[in-house]
Amino acid sequence: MPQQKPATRPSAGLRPGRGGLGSIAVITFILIAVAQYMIFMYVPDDATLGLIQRIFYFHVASAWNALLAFGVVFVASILYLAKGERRYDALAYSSAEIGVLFTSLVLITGPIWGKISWNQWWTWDPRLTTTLILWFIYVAYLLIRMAADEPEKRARFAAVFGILGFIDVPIVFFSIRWWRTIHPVVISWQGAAMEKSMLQTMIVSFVAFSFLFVYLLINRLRVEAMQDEVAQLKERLQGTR
Amino acid sequence: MSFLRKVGLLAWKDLRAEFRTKEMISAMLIFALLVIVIFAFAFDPSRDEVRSIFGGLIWVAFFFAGILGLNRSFANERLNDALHGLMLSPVDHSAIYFGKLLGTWAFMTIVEVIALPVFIVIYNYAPSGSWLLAIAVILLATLGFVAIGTFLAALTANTKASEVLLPVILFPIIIPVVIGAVEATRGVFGGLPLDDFVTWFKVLAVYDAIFIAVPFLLFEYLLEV
Amino acid sequence: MPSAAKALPYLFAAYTVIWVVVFGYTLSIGARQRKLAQDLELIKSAVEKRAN
Repeated sequence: MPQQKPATRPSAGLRPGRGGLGSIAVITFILIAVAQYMIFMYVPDDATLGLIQRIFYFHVASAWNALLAFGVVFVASILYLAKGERRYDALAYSSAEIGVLFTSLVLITGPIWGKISWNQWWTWDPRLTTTLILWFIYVAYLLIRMAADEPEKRARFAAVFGILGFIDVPIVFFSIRWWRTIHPVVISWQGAAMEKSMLQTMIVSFVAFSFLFVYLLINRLRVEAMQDEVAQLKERLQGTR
Repeated sequence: MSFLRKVGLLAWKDLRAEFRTKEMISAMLIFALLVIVIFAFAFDPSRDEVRSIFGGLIWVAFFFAGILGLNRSFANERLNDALHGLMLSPVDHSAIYFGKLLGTWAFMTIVEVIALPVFIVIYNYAPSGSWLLAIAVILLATLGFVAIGTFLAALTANTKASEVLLPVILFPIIIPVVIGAVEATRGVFGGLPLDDFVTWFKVLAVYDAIFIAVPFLLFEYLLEV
Repeated sequence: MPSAAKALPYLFAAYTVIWVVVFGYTLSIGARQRKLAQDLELIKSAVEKRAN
């Protein structure tokens, strides 16, 4: 039997070894568990907001992850338009999906906090409102990917929108902030100085979520790489027919 | 032929084609009027509060009507593969963008200038303030809307489900224009001192500048085949 | 300050949502990878058969 040449992997560069990913998974899990323990057991109740303030840690960490993810989309989109390499497109897509996931978490946990501390689910607070618009922008990004059928065109259009959307975010934020100063914000959250233990918990949460982001991103990228491989093999199969 | 002249010619081509049938302008106008009439059933149109929300009402009507125009601006060029013809003509692709932008800007402004007096009459609204400023708001806000709208219309025209997709991807991006247009209109028509709402003119101007520059740089990537 | 008794279920709900969503997403990625791995196996064997 002649030796079959191994299939060349189209996006081999995207695939980290199983071992590396496993250790990231373990570190992520431990860090999140530690953060969770600190949130429930280690930090004291907030002096003014009480128990509910403990939502804050993962809520803000999710927002951080969302911003990180959309920053990656922006950079990967520019790189894609500059170099036209499929791996940047895969990176932008994977990161956008994860960003929408974390934005959704921010939007779910925010009102849960608001119901207790402001006694209403939603306020048109600049941060909350900007997060909502952010969610819409990146859902739109995912919709564009669904609507464009040829892979190359899909990547190009998505990259263009990924750049446009990210540039829009600060403008949205500031226009909403000025808008809210005209309609005075009824309820505001006083950013009290953080206690040391609170700051520690916050930092651990941030680090844990950053690891979570990297772990999810690598796994999501692997899905893209495998899809490329399937598509390429299918093409070869049809070619030999 | 200078760049500006090419842009002008491309816009003129669209205007001439439209004035032959008046298909799109009349549809946009009727739609804008319908939106305003439907608003009258959503709340009591005879109440005084109308004064404070009038700016919001007219812009919702204008932006919704604008979507109709944008959806057609590139979809029309797909008939008979006219877009390829345009791309093969000896003009920069960005000239196509600016031509389309100018055309749609003109259509929307015409619709707005006709519809606004009607809105004022049927809501018994008495706007105060300078008309010059009101025209400036209309031109600036409409420019921001069509600048990014034309660009995204070129994007969606090349996808399946283009007409559904355009409003969904356009509205999140134009939130600053919506806020700026509504607040500036409220200020102008409410007869407030200019200092109270000059911020919104700045927001609109900055937005317009950014979202003409960025599409100008990126438009090439939308037309590659 | 809102009472702790009132806040506790909300706090619990918030963290449950975070855990469920993150775990759900991780599992869905895992499922996609498994399915793709199966597809790959299938196609690879088909390619090999054709080559022989």
